[in-house]
Amino acid sequence: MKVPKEMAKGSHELILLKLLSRKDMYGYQLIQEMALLSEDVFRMSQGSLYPFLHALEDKGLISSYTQVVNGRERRFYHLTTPGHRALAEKEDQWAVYTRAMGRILKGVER
Amino acid sequence: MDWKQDWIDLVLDEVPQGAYRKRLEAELRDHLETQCRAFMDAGRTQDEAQTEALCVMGTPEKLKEEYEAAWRRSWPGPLAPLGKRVGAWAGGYVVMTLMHYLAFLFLLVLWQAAAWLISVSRNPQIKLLQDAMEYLDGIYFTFWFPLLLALTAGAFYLRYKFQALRHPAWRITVGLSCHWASVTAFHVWWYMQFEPHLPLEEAVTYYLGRHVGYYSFTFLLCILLGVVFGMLPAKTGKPAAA
Repeated sequence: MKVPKEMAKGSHELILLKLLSRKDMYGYQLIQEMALLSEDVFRMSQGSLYPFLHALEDKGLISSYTQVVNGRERRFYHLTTPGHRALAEKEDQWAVYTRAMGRILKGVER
Repeated sequence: MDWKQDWIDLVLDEVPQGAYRKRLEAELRDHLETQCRAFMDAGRTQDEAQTEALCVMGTPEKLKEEYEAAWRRSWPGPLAPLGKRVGAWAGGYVVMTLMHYLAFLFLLVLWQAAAWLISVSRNPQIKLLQDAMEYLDGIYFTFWFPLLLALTAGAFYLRYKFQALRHPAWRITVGLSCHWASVTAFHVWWYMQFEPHLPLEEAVTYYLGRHVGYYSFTFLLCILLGVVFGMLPAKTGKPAAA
């Protein structure tokens, strides 16, 4: 089943930060990991990834560096210390959100 | 022009030439190549792989808007390049001024030590040492405090800028060398105030010849500092932990 784009869009920041918390990655790798781990539920237009990453970089949540791989220069992204803090905060918010939504959907009685 | 460049030019149509566009082009080209290769590894023909690689990138019209918006966000303004250049030069200038004062203090200590030695010894060679130290009095002429104070405030700011912007070593070295040249010119001018009868050429030759050690030392220091500051890691550089 496909998830509406609008629903998935709000999660992109959290997903990218989480993926980068595991290891430094380049753009294509991030897209692939996102699709793989979410079983294709979270997909973003690949071209939209870079403006998104650059915005995170502007906010100081991630940084980037270039590295030569197979004779070609490739830009990797790295989660910064403020990025780690933001990730922890977003994970907490997400937990609260899913718990609340779960209670509503399951119809938990008070 | 290849298929990747055609597509890149299309989506980056609104992004002007510059560092940010260069970066985007490099990232998009790498992405397209990797994606195309992955499709070919999965059994597509080259044409199919290229078409699919472009397809998964998204709608060019929408991307064009997104990239333009990203460029507008990243654009630091028309004065930024000027700020960077002036920053590097002025930073180098201030650092060099401070180094001159350190050199002055160092020599002052040496001079005091020589004076002390003379007071405890009658050795004529030590007297020669004192004479040699007196030749270094040119550094007294670095007492242009108003300018120094005005620039010192910027030094701390620029010290940060060195870190953040990774000024190329040559740019910092230019700043340092400018300082060196201006201090040297100032010294000569000052010297000429005391020897007004000397023609400029003679004054320069005489004065610089007299302090050749000091000027050579500070000039080499300029080059060394330029290289050292140029090598400082940048904010966007590869993190040590990565």
